[in-house]
Amino acid sequence: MMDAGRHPNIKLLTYSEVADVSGYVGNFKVTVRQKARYVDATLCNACGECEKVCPATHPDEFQMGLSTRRAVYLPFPQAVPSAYLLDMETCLGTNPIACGKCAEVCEKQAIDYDDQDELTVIEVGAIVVATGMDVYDPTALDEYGYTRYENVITSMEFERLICAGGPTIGHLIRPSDQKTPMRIGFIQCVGSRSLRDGAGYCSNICCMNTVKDTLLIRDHYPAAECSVFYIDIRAFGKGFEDLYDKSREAGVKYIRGIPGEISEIDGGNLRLIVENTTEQRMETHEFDMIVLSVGVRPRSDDASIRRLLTLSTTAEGWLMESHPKLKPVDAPTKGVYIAGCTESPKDVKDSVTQAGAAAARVGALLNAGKVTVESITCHIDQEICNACGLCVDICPYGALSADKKAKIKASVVDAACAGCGTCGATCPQGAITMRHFTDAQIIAQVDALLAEKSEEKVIVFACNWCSYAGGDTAGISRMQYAASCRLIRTMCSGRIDEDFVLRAFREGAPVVLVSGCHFADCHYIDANRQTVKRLYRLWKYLEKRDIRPERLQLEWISAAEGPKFQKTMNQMEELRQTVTAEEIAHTVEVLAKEEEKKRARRAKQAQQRQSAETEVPAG
Amino acid sequence: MVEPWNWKCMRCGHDYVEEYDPKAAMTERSCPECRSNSVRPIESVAKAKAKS
Repeated sequence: MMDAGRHPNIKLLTYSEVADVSGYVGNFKVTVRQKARYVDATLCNACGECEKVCPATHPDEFQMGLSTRRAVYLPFPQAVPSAYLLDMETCLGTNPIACGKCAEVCEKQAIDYDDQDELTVIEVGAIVVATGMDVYDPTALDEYGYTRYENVITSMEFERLICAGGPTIGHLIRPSDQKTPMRIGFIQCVGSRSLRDGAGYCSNICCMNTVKDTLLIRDHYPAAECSVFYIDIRAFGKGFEDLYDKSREAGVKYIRGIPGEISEIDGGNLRLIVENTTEQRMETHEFDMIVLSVGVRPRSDDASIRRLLTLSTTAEGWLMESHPKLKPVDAPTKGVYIAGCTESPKDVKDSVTQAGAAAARVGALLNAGKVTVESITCHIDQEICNACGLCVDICPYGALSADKKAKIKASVVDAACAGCGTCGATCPQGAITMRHFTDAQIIAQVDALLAEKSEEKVIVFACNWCSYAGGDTAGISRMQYAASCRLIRTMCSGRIDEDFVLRAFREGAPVVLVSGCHFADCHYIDANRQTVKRLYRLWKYLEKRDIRPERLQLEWISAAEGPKFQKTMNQMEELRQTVTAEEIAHTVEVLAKEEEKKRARRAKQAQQRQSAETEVPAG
Repeated sequence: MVEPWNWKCMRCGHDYVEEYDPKAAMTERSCPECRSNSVRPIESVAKAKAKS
């Protein structure tokens, strides 16, 4: 932190938050709100005189509430910049000034009660999101009595207790009577690996943190007894297994089983009941203090950053990388990278590794000086666009802009467009053309596939990254599937226009399958959600026209799911065999009439537009 | 608003009830019987009851 603060090329904006982000790769404009700290950081020399006279106190966040701080305080000893700040929520008041003692004693006259938040706009080429994570609050787990029993604490609180810079200067005491606990129990996986608490994942760091804590205790207090209750110890990193072995050799007891209940007994001691699953018996243990090894959660206040940078998350809320293997630090939005626990729970070493990788990616991007983008981007015909703004709303990358009220027609930033084609499928005017995947190209494929013996074909729209690749997997694994299934590749299932599906049915297709990536794998953030909405509309449309909606199918198939691809294709063939020639003839007739109506409507609209244009007086 | 909806599987025809909010962010869904993703919200249970 100190090194970063002193580096000539690094500008640290502490006590700040991102208010807005605009632009695209290489040309981001970031608006940062620097919060008022009411102490001029350039004048403050951290002498601490203000803190000594400040009468207002507040639980110290850095010490997990185990001690208090003043209203004017240094957030933590190594804070950069090394300057105090005034917490106005805790201060007795400055309007009118109720106390003013800090200003009186400050020789540098650094206290400024009239300080205001400042907005600063910074132009940057790339952005790294490293917003960290939250720690699970176990208060909801009533059976452990956290906050009800003083001597039940979390691993984060324990960390402060044994830290030399902590509230007890590193002396291990228990909260109820400040005596050194000689029997300490650790409960693992609190808030992790439990769907009941909404986190089925492993928090990654808790096992080794407990192993380290037990070794510290045994080192400093050899007479202290430590017991660890666990589901299984995950010591998977370099040297971790050795550390775990050392902990056991040091006399720490590891008991497989998660306690069901903790109760308080005499003198603040605690009793817990556990099923020892190794020995298959119920056990009761007594401790002086119990440490809940709490898991981690995605940050609760990450939503604004996610929205500003159009980032997507996993079901649990961790930021999604562009590709888990090939682009593990790239966000789906070009020029944005992710590092640390905002992506998934990880320890310091992994966070540093990922941060290094993100920095290298940024370096490579900025040093190149220019960005090569895929040629598969959208093109907007300004003549046809009516500035409805639908494309702007659904673009996962925020690459489009338009203003319905001001009648400013849609435009696209090519560098920001990823080429999913969702806008092209959504535009009701047909004003958007997807380069290399134009409507005409896709419709030509549909027509060609159904030109002969259409009743024997199943039209399969498959996304490039997952479903089509799933077909490849099935192919290279020599999996046989129905030959009637004919694939049409699009970059994303979001590109599949309702018109393509209806065209296939109108040309005599018995069955149409739309397939794409699983939601978590979508290569275009969340473009495939639009596919589902479109399918809902299509099913309704078909049903209204007495066409069996079951003839339109949807399936998410990943690149690794060759067997699923095979099974789905075979199911489509089975379905195709149930579609009668009469059904197909009826569908063709109904949809042909609908197309006639649509054409007539469009011709009328075009005529109206033309006549409106000619009526506008010249000049 | 999240409320129970009647769903229908377009693959196996299975009818079932699952919570759904048309305005909320979409989640990946599959039929509890055949695991197909071809599932469709028909109408909210409350609306269906009111109709009947």
